[in-house]
Amino acid sequence: MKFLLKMIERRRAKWEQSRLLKHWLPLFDAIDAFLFRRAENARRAPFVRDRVDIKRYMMMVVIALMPATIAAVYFWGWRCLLLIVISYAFGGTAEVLFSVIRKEEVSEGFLVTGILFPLTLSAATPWWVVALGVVFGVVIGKEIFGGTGKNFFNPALVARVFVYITFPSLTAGTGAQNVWDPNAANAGWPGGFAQWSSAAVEADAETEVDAASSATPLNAYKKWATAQDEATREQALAERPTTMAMLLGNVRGSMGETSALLLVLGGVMLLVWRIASWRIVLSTLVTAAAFSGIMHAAGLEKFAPPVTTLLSGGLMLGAFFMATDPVSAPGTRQAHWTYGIIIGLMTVLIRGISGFPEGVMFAILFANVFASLLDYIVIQLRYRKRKARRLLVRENAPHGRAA
Amino acid sequence: MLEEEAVRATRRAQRMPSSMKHAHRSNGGKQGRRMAFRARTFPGGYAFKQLKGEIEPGLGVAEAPLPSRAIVPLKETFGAEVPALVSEGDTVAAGQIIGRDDELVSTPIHAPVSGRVARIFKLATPDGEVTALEIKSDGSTNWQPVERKYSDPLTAPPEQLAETLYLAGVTALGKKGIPTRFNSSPVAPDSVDALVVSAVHSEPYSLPNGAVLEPNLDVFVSGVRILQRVFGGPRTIISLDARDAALAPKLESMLSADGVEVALVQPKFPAEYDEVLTEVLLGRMVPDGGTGLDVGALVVDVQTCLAAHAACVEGKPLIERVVALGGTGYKERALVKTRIGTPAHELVKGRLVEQSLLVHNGALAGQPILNGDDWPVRRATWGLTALYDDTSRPFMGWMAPGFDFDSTSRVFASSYFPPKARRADTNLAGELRPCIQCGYCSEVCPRDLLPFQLDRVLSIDELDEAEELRLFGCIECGLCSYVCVSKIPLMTNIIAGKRRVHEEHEAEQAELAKKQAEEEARQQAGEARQQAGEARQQAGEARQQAGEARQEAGEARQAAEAAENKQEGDAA
Repeated sequence: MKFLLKMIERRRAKWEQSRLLKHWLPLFDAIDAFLFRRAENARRAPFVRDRVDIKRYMMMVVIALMPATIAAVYFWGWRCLLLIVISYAFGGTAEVLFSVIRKEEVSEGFLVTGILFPLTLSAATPWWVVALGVVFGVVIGKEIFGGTGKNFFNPALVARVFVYITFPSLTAGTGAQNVWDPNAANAGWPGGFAQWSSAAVEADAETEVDAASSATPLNAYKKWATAQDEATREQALAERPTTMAMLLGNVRGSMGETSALLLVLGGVMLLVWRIASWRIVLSTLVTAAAFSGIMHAAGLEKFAPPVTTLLSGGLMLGAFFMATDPVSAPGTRQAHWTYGIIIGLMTVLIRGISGFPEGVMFAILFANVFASLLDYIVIQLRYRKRKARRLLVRENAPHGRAA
Repeated sequence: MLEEEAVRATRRAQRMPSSMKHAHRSNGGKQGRRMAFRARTFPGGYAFKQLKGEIEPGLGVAEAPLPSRAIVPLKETFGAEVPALVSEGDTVAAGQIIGRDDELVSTPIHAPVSGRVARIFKLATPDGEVTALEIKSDGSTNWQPVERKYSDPLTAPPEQLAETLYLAGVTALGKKGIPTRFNSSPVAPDSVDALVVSAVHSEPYSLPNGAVLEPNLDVFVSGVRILQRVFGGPRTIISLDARDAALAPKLESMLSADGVEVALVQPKFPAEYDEVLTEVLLGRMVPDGGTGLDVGALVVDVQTCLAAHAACVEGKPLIERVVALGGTGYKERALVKTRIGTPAHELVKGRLVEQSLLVHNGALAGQPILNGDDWPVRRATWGLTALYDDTSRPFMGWMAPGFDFDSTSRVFASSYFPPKARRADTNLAGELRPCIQCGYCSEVCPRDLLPFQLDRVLSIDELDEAEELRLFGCIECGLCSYVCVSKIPLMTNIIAGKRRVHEEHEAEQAELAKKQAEEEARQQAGEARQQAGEARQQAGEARQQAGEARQEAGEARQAAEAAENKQEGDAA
């Protein structure tokens, strides 16, 4: 490694002097800092620092997504990995280009967006849709707001909504035949690990998606709830997956959303590591379960029962990995509760009332809009009491330590 | 005297929340005392795990050799700069007062060593440029006692004791160094109704107060009694570090007759700060930008009490103190008793490892001693921390499992494996990045602020909004910068923001004064005009009166004439 370090350090001077390469220094810096810790030392207080940095912080989210990612490969084959690589490549390029234009350092927040976005897509999604979507997410969802830390919306979700609306037939969230489907070409062990892609995937992607799309838990539930005659109702009931199937991932759906169990596993790791806000996760899940439970119990069949609500669709993925994106969530911990409640309520409402079977991504984007407002309200409530005192202090201020 | 006591008691009751009132009342009983020994703590803050280079428990205090020269700034932390009483070339004795101004908020400055004043120069300090003296030592260890000392200080009048403390330069040796004499300090006799002795030390590499306290318990107790007497018998609390719990029963038995409470405090940073300590011990919230004195509490540290005894009983002025030499930058840690004014570099000579950064006071809120040999040990210097300046570049350092990494997050192996001394060096362990609102800074803030929001509004120069967000509530402990995932120097930015607000405030005041002066001038001109008008009016009235008088006179004349005519007619 010493050889590599020496090589990089020697290259730096060349890049700095070259008229052409000088502009690409942000890229060089990013690679440099990624490979070797910088020799930057504190010269003002505090002189010791917490060892966690943003690369580690973001990478831990990626690690927490690993169980779901590996499961996706098992369910649908190695092509899933290709989609993730494509997402990283195209999104990363967009990120670097903007850094070069802005003459700013490349931020590592993209490490999460790059994997989170493809996991919300069907394994059958064409690669160019992934590329287009991730570039849209990075540019429109983040960079036009001023880059990392300044975006209102979760970039991965912006990308998801973009492809969802632009290419409905290609990304209807169906996935394809799962490894558990008895008819699937890759049924049983080693499943997708021995395969590039489930055979049905490509066929689906090109032609008749709708025919195969009925089998996601939410679609099946909607079909059952809105069935006009008994026969369709019976048929729909048979299509509805069992709780165990939803826990393990024996259902159709996006690459990363099917196995609730693995998502909870990764999500709990995030909570233990203190990266995700447990307040957001808890309030989102509890609200969604409670609200859907109340509506269902009230006899409104359009609303799924709590267990289905929690385990189906993208709720687990959304609650643990997307709602907790610190940039687009509120910054004060008191506001996290309200934020989660908004997401939970909106998810259930969209799923139950609107024409869309799935509502998590819209719910999170909707709540993103309110993040700053929630912060503002919390700050006003917290500091109003202190106002009189502060005025008093201002008179005394010159004697204070700050002088 | 009784009346005073009653007033003090009511004031105390008004300031305390109801829950505290109850605790205070039950304090005399056995139960209350047992309660006191449960270590107290506060929300927020950060309990540092065992760091490498921490001062080993049980380490004794060593005597440092007499310095070859002493640097004496004519300003101590809290006070104003005082004029020098000596000039270049003069011979001074250790303990002699060489700078003094009884009118300013200040304390006299003493020569810490005997010798000759070699030069008077401007010394750059964190508070700006200060005139300083350099005294070349003549090698004599003698010192000159203060004017008056007492065999039994507890019978002396408090005013005299205060005067002696003032002359001996005994200030609160904590962070702020608040002078202890009334007429030259912001401490008014009736403004202190609680005396808090702080023996907590939670900052990394801070001076273990227990090591100073243990061999000097008698002296300490005597010092506490003197300070109690000076401040008219306030409620007194000694806050011991939970790690020094063994000392609590001893102190309790020695001081119980004096009504002194002993409390244990968890060593969670920044427990030793006045603002936090008054809240933990007394339940009084220090207003933003204020000090403990704003809620009637004077916080002093262990060495202040020792120095109070030394001054009043031995007549020894404050010319030496114990300094902690801790950190990964030292070959061996040490506690040394040294003369104040000892140049920092002379004190640490030969003790440092090759690559190290020397810091004045703590690793969290200290100042770097980057250049110059003239940085002295001052009254408020509790330590000279040295940290290993790690400039190595490990491969993928950010993905290391981190068995010895310290972090508020739990992303490193150190959180899941048996405790091990944590690594501590100056490396930032990351690059500066935009804020992602992870919220760590607001979680550790002991004052319940939102440092990331403050930083955001300050970066766009919204000073009013920063004040709304309690900019002056910041007590500058440095924890927000410590935990920042994006390595943003939050504390530095907040301190700069405070300075900007002060500047703006001063400019506003100047503007206001200017306007007021103009207004007054205009008003005076107006008044003058008015007076002139009144004068004119008076003149007019006078004229009118004269006219009336004339008229009356005329009428009278007429009447007289008529009367005369009548008389004439009658006569005719």
